[in-house]
Amino acid sequence: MFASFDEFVEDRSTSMLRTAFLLTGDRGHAEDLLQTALVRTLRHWAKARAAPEAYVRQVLVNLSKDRLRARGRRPAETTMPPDVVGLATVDAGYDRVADRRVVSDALAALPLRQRQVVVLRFVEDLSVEQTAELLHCSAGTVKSHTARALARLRELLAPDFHESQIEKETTDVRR
Amino acid sequence: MSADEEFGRLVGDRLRDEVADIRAERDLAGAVRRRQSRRAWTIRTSIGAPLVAAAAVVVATAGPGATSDQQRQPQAAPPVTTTTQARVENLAHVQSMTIQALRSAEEYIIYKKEELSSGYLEYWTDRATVRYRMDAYSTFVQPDQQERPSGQVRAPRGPDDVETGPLHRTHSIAGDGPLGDVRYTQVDYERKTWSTHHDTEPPPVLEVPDVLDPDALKKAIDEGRMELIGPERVGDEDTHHLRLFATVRGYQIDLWVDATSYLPVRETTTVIGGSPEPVMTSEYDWLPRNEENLAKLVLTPPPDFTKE
Repeated sequence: MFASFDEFVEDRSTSMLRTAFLLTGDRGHAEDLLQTALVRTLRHWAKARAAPEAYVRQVLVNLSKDRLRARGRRPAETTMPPDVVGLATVDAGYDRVADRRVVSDALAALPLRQRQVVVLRFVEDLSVEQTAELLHCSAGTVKSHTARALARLRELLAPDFHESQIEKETTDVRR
Repeated sequence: MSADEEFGRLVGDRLRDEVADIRAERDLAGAVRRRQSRRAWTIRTSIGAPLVAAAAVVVATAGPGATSDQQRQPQAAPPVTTTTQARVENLAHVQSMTIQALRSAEEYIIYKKEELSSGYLEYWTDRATVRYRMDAYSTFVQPDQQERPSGQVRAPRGPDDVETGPLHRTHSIAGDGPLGDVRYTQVDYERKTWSTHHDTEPPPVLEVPDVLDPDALKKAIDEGRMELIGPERVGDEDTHHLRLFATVRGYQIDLWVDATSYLPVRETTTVIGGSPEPVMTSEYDWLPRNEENLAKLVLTPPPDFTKE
């Protein structure tokens, strides 16, 4: 158990931000989503402290759905910081990663519920039952969403994975 | 471990790898405490709608040469001129006629063909009886699921390991009932199985508006997310080319409606800032509700298939 809210955030925030990014497909929204989830967790820290990560995960899942509904009705909730140069020092590796976000781009093209089951099942390593509980649906529904999501990812990733395989083979031959 | 499970784990590993360099800011806990005190969320939510409505007016008055960047910078829009006024009226006419045409969708069987890189999907929808059917065709060959003598299952190592073959029908789904109360029949032609399922989940949140839903289209118009590109030929048909933007993600939807009936003929979805090629292209055909076309909605599993 974490001694304090700050210790929990210090230890787990990067992992939770990555989950939020995969759920939303957008870095800015992921940061905003995580902050909102943490604000709620902080408000209920006495209750959440026993399993704060599970609490945040539940809020992230709920908010990612609400956020997608609401984005059409209001402008983005965070504005760009005035010193965008400062971002590079915070996360210098992000631009490099953005160039090769093949799978996460494909993930972002999935409907929300399919994206959620892929992230929860295969990134968060939750069981079908745990995922079903988190999404408030049946295990059968999780399975069907998972099957559809993976089928679609196969479609979307086939060309890129094929190209990367050729590139890898070419590089290997040159070596 | 099933082939799906193994592929899912591969996807999970690659996703973790792709986001490995994303790190939270150092003083996140402090930022959260500050944010809690400001309660910015509530304030911004309350002012959001009027701002969007104001932006919509400006987008509607943008000229024909407006680019996506210009649409996102309302201050860059040209001043309203007589030409622009005429264009807005024309846009309003096409939008109105399209919505009116879509409200008559119950008079047709709507046929839609969606092209994929490895095959295509065919849909038949009958709004009058709230039924639909989808047939999927693919060149992908289902991995061999049969157990080998050793007890192991042959599974692909990843998407690049997917076998391909001749184009063939992989599965069909027929749905009956409104969203939230749909009874499905699914036939898997590769595994020679079929199953039924009752889906009581509430309607999903659509990231891309359903262009066949007049209410969704009207909402996009009301929010200023739709514009008229102009008259275009699609195959042998004269059409009006409309463009709308999804509410929730950077998608651009291009819709071509027949110049006479105002019913959709073609739809493409493109990711803004991504590849210029559409991620999805759909062709529409509006069929009469005769016996032959209604029969398309009936899905009967072949007698030698096994029920799961």
